[in-house]
Amino acid sequence: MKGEVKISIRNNKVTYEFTLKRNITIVRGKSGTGKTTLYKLVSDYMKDNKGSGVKIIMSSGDSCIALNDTDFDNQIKKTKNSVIFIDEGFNGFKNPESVNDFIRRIKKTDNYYVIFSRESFDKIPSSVEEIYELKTNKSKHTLKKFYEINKNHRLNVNISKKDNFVLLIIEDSKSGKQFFKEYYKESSIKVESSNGNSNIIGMINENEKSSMMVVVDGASFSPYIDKVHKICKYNKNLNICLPESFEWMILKSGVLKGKQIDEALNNTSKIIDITKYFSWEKFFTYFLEDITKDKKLTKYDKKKITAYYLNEENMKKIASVIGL
Amino acid sequence: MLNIYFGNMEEAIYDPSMYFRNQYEEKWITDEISKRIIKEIDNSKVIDRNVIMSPVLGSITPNDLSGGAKTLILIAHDKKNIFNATTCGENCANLLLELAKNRDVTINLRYIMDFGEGEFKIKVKNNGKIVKNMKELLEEATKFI
Repeated sequence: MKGEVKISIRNNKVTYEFTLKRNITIVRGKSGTGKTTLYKLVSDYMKDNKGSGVKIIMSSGDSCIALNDTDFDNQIKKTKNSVIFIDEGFNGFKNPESVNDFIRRIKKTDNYYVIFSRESFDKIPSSVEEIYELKTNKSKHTLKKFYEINKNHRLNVNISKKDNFVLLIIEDSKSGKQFFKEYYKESSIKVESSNGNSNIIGMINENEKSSMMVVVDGASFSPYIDKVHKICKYNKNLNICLPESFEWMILKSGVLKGKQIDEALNNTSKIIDITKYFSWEKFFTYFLEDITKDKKLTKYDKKKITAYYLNEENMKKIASVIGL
Repeated sequence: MLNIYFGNMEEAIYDPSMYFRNQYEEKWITDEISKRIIKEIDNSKVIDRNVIMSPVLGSITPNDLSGGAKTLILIAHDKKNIFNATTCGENCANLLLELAKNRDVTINLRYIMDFGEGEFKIKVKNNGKIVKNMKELLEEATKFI
């Protein structure tokens, strides 16, 4: 599937209307909001489309599928260009081995997946922006973003946060780290890399007394956001910043220009091939390296950032994307 | 006291909704604690053992309750088993603490439920530590999930 998909699912009592923007959408939140009812509607529809009494309208894609426990491997194998709903209690999430099998099965497929789960899975690196809760107004259910992220890509947690920090932790161990080291070289701010998302929480806990800014790839941080959001709520010294990725910051900053870039930023879901790029940050890295590969001045290399991106003016533009 | 085992727990009942469908007893539904759970979590009213009135869905059966409500009813009535309470959203936190007020209740959680800003007493079963607030709970729980 490609692009945004508008979906309406209804019977004579309830209506669900929402838009899916990426291959993975996670729905969590309070109990009793109607997640299982939505799953059951899709499941009934699969049994006997019109005869089920459920009506499903999709703006694109072939069908909506409710993944069942006993035959999920085959079900995914034969489903293409569709939206697959996965309910709480799904057997594929029962233990680490079954999660691995599930991930292996869904990677390189062209379906969109809607996962009802409060549990986070390290191996499903999806976007923080695509985590929702169900909101009900009378009988109509819609999706509301679960985490609030402000215009500077900071995670909002209902307590006042200072933006003055002494330690900047960045998930990126390559170009992103090199960039921020250079950006803060004249200041007292210390820049450290966690060398990946999975070490972020450990580093936050180790430095809990310091004022910290943590910059991570929002496009793939969903497995950790619930824990980090709660730590942030109970630690006033911690601020989380979630741009899509460091390469996205460069593309967004205006240090490179062109219609192709505007298109990639504004219509990412239409352009991205989800069978190749499971999450968007990998696409932005590929895209930036690809469009600059033949350019002498602006050539971008993830492993070692080049001088063009480290001149003072360009550094300011790139950092300002996240309000730094 | 509430005891929580964080992460994958082999002996816990992973899918409480399925277990509820096959094991709940009709008499459970009309007792005071179930009525409260159904009211507070699903905003619904128990009419009799088999009928519940939902403001959205109309009359439903106990099997149509939310995963969170079903899990809480199981925890309240089935004292032999440990249930995966990941099916319980954060609106279940106070009821979980209340169910564990006068007896030991053990649950399995695969996410860190927010028990609010007040003081409480929870034992993290993975290492036996007793925590008294969310900050302490987060420090311990993040070691295991």
